[in-house]
Amino acid sequence: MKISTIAFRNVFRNGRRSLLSIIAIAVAAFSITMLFSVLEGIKVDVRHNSWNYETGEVRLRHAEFDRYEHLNPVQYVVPDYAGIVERLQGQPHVWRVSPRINVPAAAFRDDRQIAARGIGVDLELERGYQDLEDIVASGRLPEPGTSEAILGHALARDLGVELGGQATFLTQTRLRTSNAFTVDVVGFADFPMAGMNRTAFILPLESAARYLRMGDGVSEIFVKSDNGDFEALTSDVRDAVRESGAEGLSVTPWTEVSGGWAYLQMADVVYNIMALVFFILGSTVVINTTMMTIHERTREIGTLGAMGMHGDELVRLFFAEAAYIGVAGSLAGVLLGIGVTIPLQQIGIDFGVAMEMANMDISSVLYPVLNLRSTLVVFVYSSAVAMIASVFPARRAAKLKPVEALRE
Amino acid sequence: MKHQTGRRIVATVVAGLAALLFVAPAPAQELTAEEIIERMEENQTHSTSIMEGRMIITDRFGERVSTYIAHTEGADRFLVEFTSRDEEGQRILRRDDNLYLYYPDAREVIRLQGSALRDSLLGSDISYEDMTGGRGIIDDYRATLIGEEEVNGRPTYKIRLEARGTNVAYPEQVYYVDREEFVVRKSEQFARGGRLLKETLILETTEQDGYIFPTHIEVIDVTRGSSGTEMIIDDVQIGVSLPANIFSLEELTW
Repeated sequence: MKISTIAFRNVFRNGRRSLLSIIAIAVAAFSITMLFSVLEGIKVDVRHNSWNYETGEVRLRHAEFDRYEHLNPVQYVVPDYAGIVERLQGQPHVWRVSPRINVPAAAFRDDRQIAARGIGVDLELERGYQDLEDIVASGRLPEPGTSEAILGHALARDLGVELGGQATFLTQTRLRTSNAFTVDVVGFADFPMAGMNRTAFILPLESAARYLRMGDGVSEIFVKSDNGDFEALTSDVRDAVRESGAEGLSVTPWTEVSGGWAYLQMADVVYNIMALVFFILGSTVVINTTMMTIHERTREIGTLGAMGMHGDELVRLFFAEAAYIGVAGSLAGVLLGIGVTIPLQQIGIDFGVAMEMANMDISSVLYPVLNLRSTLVVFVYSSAVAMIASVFPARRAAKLKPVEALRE
Repeated sequence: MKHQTGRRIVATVVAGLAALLFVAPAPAQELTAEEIIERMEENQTHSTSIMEGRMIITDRFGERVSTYIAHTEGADRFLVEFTSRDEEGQRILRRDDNLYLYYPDAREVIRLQGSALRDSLLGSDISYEDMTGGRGIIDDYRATLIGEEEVNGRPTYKIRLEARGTNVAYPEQVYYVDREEFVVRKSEQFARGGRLLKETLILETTEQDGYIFPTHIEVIDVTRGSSGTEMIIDDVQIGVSLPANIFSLEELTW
């Protein structure tokens, strides 16, 4: 009889114990599958939020703005933005362009000062840059050239503003003086990042330019490529800036400035360590099961040895048993992970309350993303760990002398 | 009523920058700290004035100038209208203890209260809170005469002011009051614990209609790390008749 056949039959000799091992491996594989899916979802989410609201895929700014960003240096602008946008749109890797004006703002209610941040956008270009309609929770987007604005719903609540009402903000101009302006609230926004809902509002670029005395300048220009090749895109943006003759501007890919990107780099390492710990915990059950099996079957091992089975064949036998258990557990865990992840890809996991106060690039509703490559890796890893875990006790069994084993 | 009287030098000056000061008839002898402060406050209180001036703000990004016309009445009412191109039409109204901001681009008047008063006026070294002072230093502070010092070649009384409560911007201040003219020549504002926050220097004064009037003042907010804000009065008319309701909210938005 083949060793693999004997091993397969042995799996069912103590069904409960085998099932326990399979469950342990399955739980580990399921957890890691879910963890990797959530991590992949966070990656996609951070990139989406960063590209749309924080850095663009590549960001064009005045170099001094970066240096003094903490001081809201509104005076450092990208000059003649319309000319630069036109040049950018002629570059091969540039897919979408979004000129923006950041509006540092404060509103006052009774004796409270409410900090806010306006984002002046070219509404036509922005509709191509991102799905702007997606953020509209109620009402509508502002019309270009008007004093209309759409407010983050939590900001509107703080200000006590109803749809159709107005809100007045104090701000700082490009001339480094103060100004205040009133917007008509035509909509409430539900930004993906909960923190933005407390502070952000979107208004037309032309209005922001007027309130902040920006002239032909904007605070920054976000650029997206059509294929995610940010290095080629960065090169294209630099070419466009050079051709425009503008000086003192900085062109930065999102990987250099996004806080979310840095977080992901760290998270990648941390989650891989967590995955390893899960596997090790799962494998201890396999080790335990194999050791108990060997202990219970010592006489049998002696009989097999007396009948001429060699040590390496005994190792292969126990290894094959562990392999069956490992593969079954891994397969069950991974399939369960896939089964749970698929609906969650649509439904999402709502961290709304937890993320309300967090100032992160991560959305309050997170959509896990199933990555086939990492799922396959989880399956192979968890099977392999279960098999490797069986080697040590199997080798110990192989060293037993048949005569001594038969005396047990 | 909220008293913020510890900041009256800047308050008076910015508020029309109108600290009109009587020329004291003779140097005082053996005055107590309270008496010196009272005489200084008497000198600062005047009926009405219109003045034109400029504010030169220097920070790490450079220098800029804002011009204004200020109308004042007594110690508690003023209306400042900015005339420089960058801030044209912006107004600040102080009525009693309330401060209102009007901006042509805004359809609402902003009433500053609470922590908002600590914000900087046009990015200068002067906070809105500095503009809310009036009479009544002795009500808010315990005054102690701690010595005499020369400031810009003028003999002064050095008076320490310690806040009686917490409803003032600065827990401790030191005033250097001119011994002969009862003008504040210099003042220092401190945080609790003694850290210097702000320093105000009267660099020039002028005499008009029997008043000694500060015409060049420098304020340095030490915490901002800036180079300071200078306020220069170019023209002043004292005891003029002001339009009716000039200090009303209705007039503010006109």
